[in-house]
Amino acid sequence: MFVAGIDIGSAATKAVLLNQTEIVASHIIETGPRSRATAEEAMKGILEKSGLNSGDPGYIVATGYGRINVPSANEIITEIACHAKGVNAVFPKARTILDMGGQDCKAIRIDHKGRHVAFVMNDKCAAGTGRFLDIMAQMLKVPLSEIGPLSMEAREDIKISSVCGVFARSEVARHLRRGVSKADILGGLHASVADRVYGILKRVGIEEDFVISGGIGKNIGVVRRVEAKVGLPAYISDEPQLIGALGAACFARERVSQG
Amino acid sequence: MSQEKEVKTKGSKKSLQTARNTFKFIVEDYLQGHAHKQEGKPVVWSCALAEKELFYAMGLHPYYPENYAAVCATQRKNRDPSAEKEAVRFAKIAEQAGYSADLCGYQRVATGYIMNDDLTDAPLGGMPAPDLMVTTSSVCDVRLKWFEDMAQRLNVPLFTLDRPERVFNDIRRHPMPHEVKYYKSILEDYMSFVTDVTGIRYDEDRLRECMEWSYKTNEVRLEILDLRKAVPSPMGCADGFATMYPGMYCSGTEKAYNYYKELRDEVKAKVLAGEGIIQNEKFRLMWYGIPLWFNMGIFNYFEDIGGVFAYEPAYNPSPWPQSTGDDPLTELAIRSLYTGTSMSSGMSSILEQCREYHINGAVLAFLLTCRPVYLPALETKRILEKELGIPSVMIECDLVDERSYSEAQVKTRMDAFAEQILGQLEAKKEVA
Ligand code: SF4
Repeated sequence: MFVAGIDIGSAATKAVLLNQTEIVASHIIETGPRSRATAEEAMKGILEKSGLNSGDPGYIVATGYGRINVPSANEIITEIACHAKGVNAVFPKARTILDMGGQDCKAIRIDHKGRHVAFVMNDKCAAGTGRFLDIMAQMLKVPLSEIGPLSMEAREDIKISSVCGVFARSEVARHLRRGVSKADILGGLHASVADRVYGILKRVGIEEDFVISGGIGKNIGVVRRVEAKVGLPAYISDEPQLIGALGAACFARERVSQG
Repeated sequence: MSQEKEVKTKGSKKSLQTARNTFKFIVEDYLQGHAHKQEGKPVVWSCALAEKELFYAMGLHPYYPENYAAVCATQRKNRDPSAEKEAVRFAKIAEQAGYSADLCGYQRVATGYIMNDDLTDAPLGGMPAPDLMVTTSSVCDVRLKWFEDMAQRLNVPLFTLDRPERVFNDIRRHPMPHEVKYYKSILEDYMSFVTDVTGIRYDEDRLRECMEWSYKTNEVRLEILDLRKAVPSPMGCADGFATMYPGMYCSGTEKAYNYYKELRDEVKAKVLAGEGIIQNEKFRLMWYGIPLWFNMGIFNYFEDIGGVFAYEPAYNPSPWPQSTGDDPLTELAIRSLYTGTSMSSGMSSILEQCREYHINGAVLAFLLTCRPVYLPALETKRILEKELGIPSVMIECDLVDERSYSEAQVKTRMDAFAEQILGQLEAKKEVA
């Protein structure tokens, strides 16, 4: 029997289809204004990709901020628990997770079974989230996928003292006027994000192995700087954005096997 | 969690009849005060931690803007469900006049209420205009300037009870003679101040009588606290917060004593019958800090998965020193000086209480607008985990202004916290 996990985040919706042992299909789309329609589209996406036309998955777990708006879900589980579960499935030795999504950022400590034993969230403001870097990328007119690598080319140590998206904009504008290179500015911006998320990690307590999940896991500029602060290498899955949906699907598989 | 619930801001489901009757008690107290004022007798506006006996002994009917702000957080104008909460309406008036939204919600709501110009255009017919105001230097600096500001706006005299903040490790340490002497002199000044404003003279016997009622009330409240340690929990935080008004604000009266006697009897009967708030109690939580008055329903949030909010340190009485037989002002000074504000003694009593009330987890009100609650919250979180392995979660917002509350964020935190505690209980079973 196939099972599915769907993670409706504020920026992107992710869906994963599992069989008994592995991921059969996954699908990522932008979260639209209506979570219900987005959920249906994401589910349709994995079914089409899997080439299955055997109807609905046997069990669906929904997670993420839009989790209550998935009519087909059999169960709803928080994104904290799903990230913990998903990371545990990919990296069984992981004990600390930093999940950096579009709008929020969370640090989670987990046990050997992938149960969360502590968590800290920042979802009050854009600082330390993908949104912050998004805004800055737009301002600097650098494609989002290039900001991380470009930040690694920074030569000068630029301090962006404000973690607030609004105030940071004016700091960036000042640096641009002074002729500071985009790479240096991006270096400063990425360092400020790393600083911010390191604070969250410290509050939850850091234990080996350390994993980064969420969309920002693809941003080398943030990852390297966080690793340097933590003093540990970060394990990152090939699709860090899918971890929450994968965890949800793992819960679904557990439920089915428990009968 | 298989099913999720909506956290709508709503009132709590109380399990005790006495708790359900408290609003009636409050309404009657307000009405009595209005009648008192109409008879030409003086009304005082004051705050928590001012000694309430001082008011009753001097024939003043007290009102408490902070408590009134909490009432406003639960009410809408003309009970119209589409209207914003009265607390929000008043807070906006204050903010439009330039008061920062980062100030304590009690202050913004009360100040906005005054600025609205019609004191009767408000829940329960409003608070009657004060003849005088009395604040205290204890615990929080906001109350000093806030009361000064209100007194100026309403053009009434203000007295500040300047109580030494006793920040040392053992709050049970007997106050030093110079501290007692100083605070007694403040209480004497207060008496003269009231006489100057109202013409009413200090009557030692009357104060003694009020204090006797408070001592008796305190004893019964301590008995109730003791009963609340029972498993399953007979009286949780929804009932605890709902029943604090008579003790916090009417201490020194016979009616407060009678109220708690009734409450004690009801709780005792539940304990004897082994009856809990819910049928199948699986985990017990502590609520740290002042509640979110606009959303007391949060205390019922975990009940269908076996979680109860069993204990809250706020507003609870502590044992008082034995009556010394001194003159009542000296005795009152000594009693008041037992109220210490040291964080470390606060922490050790929280740890002790978590053990006594069999607490498995704590929800901390991280009240960004209230420093006296906000700062110790961080230390509470740290020490609960370090000393007792008790996990906790923080809910960030103001205490009466629901605009500071994000339902989606709170839901995620609360649900993840429930999963965490249930996971911990499961892990314990695996080890056993
Ligand atoms: S800041 Fe806190 S302690 Fe001070 S009045 Fe407001 S709620 Fe009370």
